[in-house]
Amino acid sequence: MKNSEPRLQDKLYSLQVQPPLQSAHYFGRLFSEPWGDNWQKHSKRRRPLRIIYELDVLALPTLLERYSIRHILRQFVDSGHKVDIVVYDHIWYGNADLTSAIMDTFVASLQAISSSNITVHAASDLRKTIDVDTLYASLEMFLLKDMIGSGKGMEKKNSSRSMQDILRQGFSLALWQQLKADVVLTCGPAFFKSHADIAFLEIPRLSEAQGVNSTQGATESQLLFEAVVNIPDQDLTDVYCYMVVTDDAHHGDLAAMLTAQPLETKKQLATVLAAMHFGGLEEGIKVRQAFEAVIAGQSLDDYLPVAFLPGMTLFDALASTDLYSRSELRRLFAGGAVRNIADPTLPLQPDHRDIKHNDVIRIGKKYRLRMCV
Amino acid sequence: MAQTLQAHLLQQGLVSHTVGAVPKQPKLAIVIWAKHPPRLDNAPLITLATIIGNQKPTIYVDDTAARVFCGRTVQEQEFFNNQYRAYGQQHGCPMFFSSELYAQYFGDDVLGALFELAARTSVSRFMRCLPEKKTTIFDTLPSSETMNMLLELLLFEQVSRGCNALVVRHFTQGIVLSHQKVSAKPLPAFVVPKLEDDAAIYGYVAKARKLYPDAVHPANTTVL
Repeated sequence: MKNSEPRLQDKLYSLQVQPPLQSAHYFGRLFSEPWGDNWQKHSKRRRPLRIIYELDVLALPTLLERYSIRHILRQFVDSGHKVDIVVYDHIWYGNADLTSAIMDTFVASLQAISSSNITVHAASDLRKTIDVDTLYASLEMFLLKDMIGSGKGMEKKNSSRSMQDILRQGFSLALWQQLKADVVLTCGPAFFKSHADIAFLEIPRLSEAQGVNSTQGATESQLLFEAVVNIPDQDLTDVYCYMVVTDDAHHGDLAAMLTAQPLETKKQLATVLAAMHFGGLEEGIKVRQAFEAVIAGQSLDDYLPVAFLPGMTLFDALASTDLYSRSELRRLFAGGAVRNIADPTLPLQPDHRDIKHNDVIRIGKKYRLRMCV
Repeated sequence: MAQTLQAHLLQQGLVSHTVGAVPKQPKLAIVIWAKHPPRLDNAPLITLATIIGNQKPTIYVDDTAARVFCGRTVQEQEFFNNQYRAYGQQHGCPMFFSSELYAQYFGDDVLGALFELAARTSVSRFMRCLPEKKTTIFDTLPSSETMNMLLELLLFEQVSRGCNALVVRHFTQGIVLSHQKVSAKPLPAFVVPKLEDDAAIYGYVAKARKLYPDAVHPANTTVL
């Protein structure tokens, strides 16, 4: 990448770590029809809005989805709206002895956003507030064929599907109406997404990260980083929109960057996300360095240490290693092969002096050197 | 139950067939949907159940499903329930209403019981239970149609607490079969043959009385 090209990193890293609370812009773009562009108009109907999010222990959101949901709910709460979280836990499914640590942690993290504007309900408790008549009336609103399909092979397709799935749709609708929902946040495609009084915000399914390299005991920030780095390229824009989004201008840059350097783009996005959720950009970069060390199968101690004395240029420091002759080194610098792995999009110049302790410098594909300041 | 009686009933055409393993000492129940006032076509069920069980069957009246499907208030349904109470007394049959049973067993969590039952019931089984006339208009059926089956199964579950066999009409056997698949206490059933009109019903009851004059007959009614 030439130095003159716009760097996504400049944009990403320099984003406000707490995204702006421009709800009209932010939410307006997230909503599917029928609210869509009319978000502003609709959002003025009633304040505060009631947002419903249903969490099912048998279909827990993936790590990335959990961060997306938390981020979006935070936006709603910070904009003064009320959130109701309905939890379909093991008690709902009749297994009172089972627990889910992931779900408990996630619910606690959501509650931690705001104790006054976020209310958590157990679906098994709410079930007692809805009678058979109401459930029936809700189910009347769906056509059976829309739920289970029709035509040949339908029976076979539904052979393992339980009737509970169907009742659940009716129950959810009854519940939304009882809770006077304005917005329902769903994860993945919802069956029911057309209602005159309710807007549906659908977060796309973000697959669980594959090939995560974390060793046991990885921190949550490392897990998030790895999850982002491992998402399929086609999901990246979704993650970006739902977890970072600020303004449309970034999307063009993102698309270009994603085409040119998908892995690097993901790393930068992961860095920003880690920064957003775990204490700033410094933490984000630290997580990235740790991740790259793990990927390389090395810890920082495994890299060849190179002294970077005061007054030195990077060229001087690298030349002192005798790994390359000075002419070879000049050629490598000129070819853009010398980079800081924390910021590998930008080739370093021979006179570079901005080196921090434990910065890892990559020279070509062969060497990685740890700078000791 | 003596095997000969079952064979005789089948031979005489009083029983079309049986579903499931019939118990030796059947304690019979009849399930009636309280959508309409008590009707003539219950008479063959009571007559047959009385012959087989040698005592009056227990009648389970599904007033919950009827009320929900007809969109009635509790008070409106009570009008029909009172007619069924009188009907039960007239025939000397013990009677239970689904609304009372659900309140007794599930309190305010009837949906909990319904969901639990729904979890054990597959969609394909529901499809097999749909009457033929409904399959032809499947594309227009609302999903509330599923509640028909589930509420019926839920009542069968309550029936199995007090009785061990059913006497049913022809069109109910699909539900009986489904109940056998999903229940820990499946109920076998004696299926009454199809009776097309009132004359057939009168004929059935008269034949049963003639063949089994010593059975505990239903009390005198206008139709019998």
